[in-house]
Amino acid sequence: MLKALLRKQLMELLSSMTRGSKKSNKKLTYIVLLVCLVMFGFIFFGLSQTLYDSFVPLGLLWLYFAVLGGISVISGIIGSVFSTYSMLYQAKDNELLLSMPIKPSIILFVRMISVYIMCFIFQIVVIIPAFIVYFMNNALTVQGVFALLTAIFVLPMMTLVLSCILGYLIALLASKLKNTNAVITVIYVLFLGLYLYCYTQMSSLIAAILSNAQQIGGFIKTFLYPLYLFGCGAKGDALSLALFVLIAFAVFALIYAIISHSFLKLATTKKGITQKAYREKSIKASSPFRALLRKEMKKFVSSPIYMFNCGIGSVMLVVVLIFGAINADVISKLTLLLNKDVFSLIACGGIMLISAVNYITAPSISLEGKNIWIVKSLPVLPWQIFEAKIALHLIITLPAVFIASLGFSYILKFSAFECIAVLLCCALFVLLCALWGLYINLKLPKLDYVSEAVVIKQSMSTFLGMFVPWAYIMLAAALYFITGNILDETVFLMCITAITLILCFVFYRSLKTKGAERFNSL
Amino acid sequence: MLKIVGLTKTYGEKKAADNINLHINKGEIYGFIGHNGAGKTTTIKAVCGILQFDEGEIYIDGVSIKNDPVKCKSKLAYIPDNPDLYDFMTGIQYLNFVGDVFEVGADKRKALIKKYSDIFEMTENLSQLISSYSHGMKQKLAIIAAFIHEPKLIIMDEPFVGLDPKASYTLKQMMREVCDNGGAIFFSTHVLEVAEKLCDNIAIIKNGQIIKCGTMEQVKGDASLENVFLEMEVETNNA
Repeated sequence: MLKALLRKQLMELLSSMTRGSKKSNKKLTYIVLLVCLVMFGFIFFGLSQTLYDSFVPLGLLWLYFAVLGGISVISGIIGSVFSTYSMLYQAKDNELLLSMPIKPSIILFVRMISVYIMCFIFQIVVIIPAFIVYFMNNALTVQGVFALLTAIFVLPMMTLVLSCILGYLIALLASKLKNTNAVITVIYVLFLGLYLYCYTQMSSLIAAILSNAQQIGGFIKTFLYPLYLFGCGAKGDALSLALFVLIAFAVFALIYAIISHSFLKLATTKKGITQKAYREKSIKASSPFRALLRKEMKKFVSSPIYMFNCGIGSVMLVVVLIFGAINADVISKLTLLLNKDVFSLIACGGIMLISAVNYITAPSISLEGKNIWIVKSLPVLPWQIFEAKIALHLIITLPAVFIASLGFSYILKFSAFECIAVLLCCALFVLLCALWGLYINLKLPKLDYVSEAVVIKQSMSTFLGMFVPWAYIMLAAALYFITGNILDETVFLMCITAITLILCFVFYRSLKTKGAERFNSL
Repeated sequence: MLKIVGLTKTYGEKKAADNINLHINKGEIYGFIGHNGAGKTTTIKAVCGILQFDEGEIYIDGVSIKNDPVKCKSKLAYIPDNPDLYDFMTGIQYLNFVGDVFEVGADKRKALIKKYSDIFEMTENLSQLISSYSHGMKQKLAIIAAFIHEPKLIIMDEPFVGLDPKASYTLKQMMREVCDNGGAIFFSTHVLEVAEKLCDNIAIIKNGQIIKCGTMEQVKGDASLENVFLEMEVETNNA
């Protein structure tokens, strides 16, 4: 039975990545994933090298492993926490599985395996480079390999435990309070704030770790003892490693026991709904477009996981602008030191990069799910349905893009022409992202999802929905370095705007023709 | 009102609908019966423009669904067997959404919503989220949504599943009312007694093919529809 459930869970996880793909495309999907993991691995390889060079001369090899272990745990939590609650407690097959002769604790265990796999993927990009750096400077020993395997397979258990505790607390709160979505939203906002704070302080945090190695070491020994054990174990102390493994399994068993005790209750809780009798009000008729847009908007705001994964870019743009405004003096000095004109490109690239974090259209077709019959049976063209989805993307993203563009134009003292060029380029890029997201989701839809988190966070269409626009910006940057001496910055920006406009038109045509056909065949 | 000509739909090697021909006139209630997997839902979904088909033509009030799907859809309403509606909307929000898309005027819409939600005793629940509805309530809401834009043709897939006896009775009356006013109804059902009492015409489908169709008298003669249906099943199995 456990085997069957595990198979189902793995199929669910894999199908979220490759659904709708042909066999050859599936291979490509895995290759793209691998390339991304390797890219992130390179970033952490650089960090590992820096930490290794700083800690080892001080005789703090254990701290090197402990710090990177800690970073990998944080990376795993960031990657999994937003979906843990929905994966554990809100899966659509809850009732189906609970009606079968399966212990709820087994269902929970299998769901936890999914979270474990997510943690595992997010953590290996940190852990493997850390050990590569270690093995580059030290001989490859059996003990070292054993420590590596422990780090790869046991460390994610710690992350899983922390992620599950958070998911459990959210579920507990949601079961006690009436407005679940508001509760989850507040928790997500708090977590997002913490995440953004850590992210903006990353370089100073690393610098602080490097300059206060001894104190940090003392702190880890006292308050984060399992990490200390992990560090010592990875360094070569077999007893510490064994103790770490023991603690990891014990903590996992304890948390599993606590969560499984209340799993059935939390997964099946339906809060009493206050009977609010309907009172007839005057009805205001609106156009089909507005009705479809309103429907998209309602879907967006009713799902915290959709809102925060796909709309986070708008918040980040405003935060970055505030950060820029606070540090306006430093930026002004920088403009004096460097070629001032290049700042319009940097600002534009930065705004585009952050705005692409909003991938609202990329899961929008999949999110129709079993309700897709409704829009398909309505007397509207597929393009009208697409229009509403694109409009939602623009409504959520464009205001923040405009505010950021105008704000940075003011801070960086752009000329009116530069300001318009940045605005235009960013706005068209947002439109391109919206069109691309829809295009790729039509190619790779997943309508039979079990959890929204799977579609929003783990599907190939959302992955490509965000990373392909990023690749486009990188390509534009590379183009600038090639043609930098030939073209003026603003002219270059206008060229990119023109290319973006052409691409928008290409995707618009494709969506209207092939996209509509594809939608009809879903 | 509805003309299906040579409809064929294939899934891989299996023909879910194999050269189906049906003609439903104004004022007719047309029943569609067959065992599970016979091709009823495939045919119904093709008629509603939800499913693309390989061969044949479907005309709604003389308009080809292939050539002008929007015009066809504006004339029909579809009630699925499993009413998966938007859980994130309230009942009234869903009805207004449908009303807006079908461009039903505000006053007319208000009156129709009141009329049908009163009939199905749903008025009190319209401000609740659909996620809090039972299966039957969702089914009632789907029916109300289908009726508020006054379609000429109503396509229903197992419409009585999940409805309480009173709602079933009300729906049957409403179906007759639609036909009396010049509309037409095409619906699938497994409840043969209902089909026998309600339908003017009936079609029996098996393995994607219509094995018998016509008026109720032509199809069943003096026997009961249940007997005719079961005998046909045996005959075609032996053939």
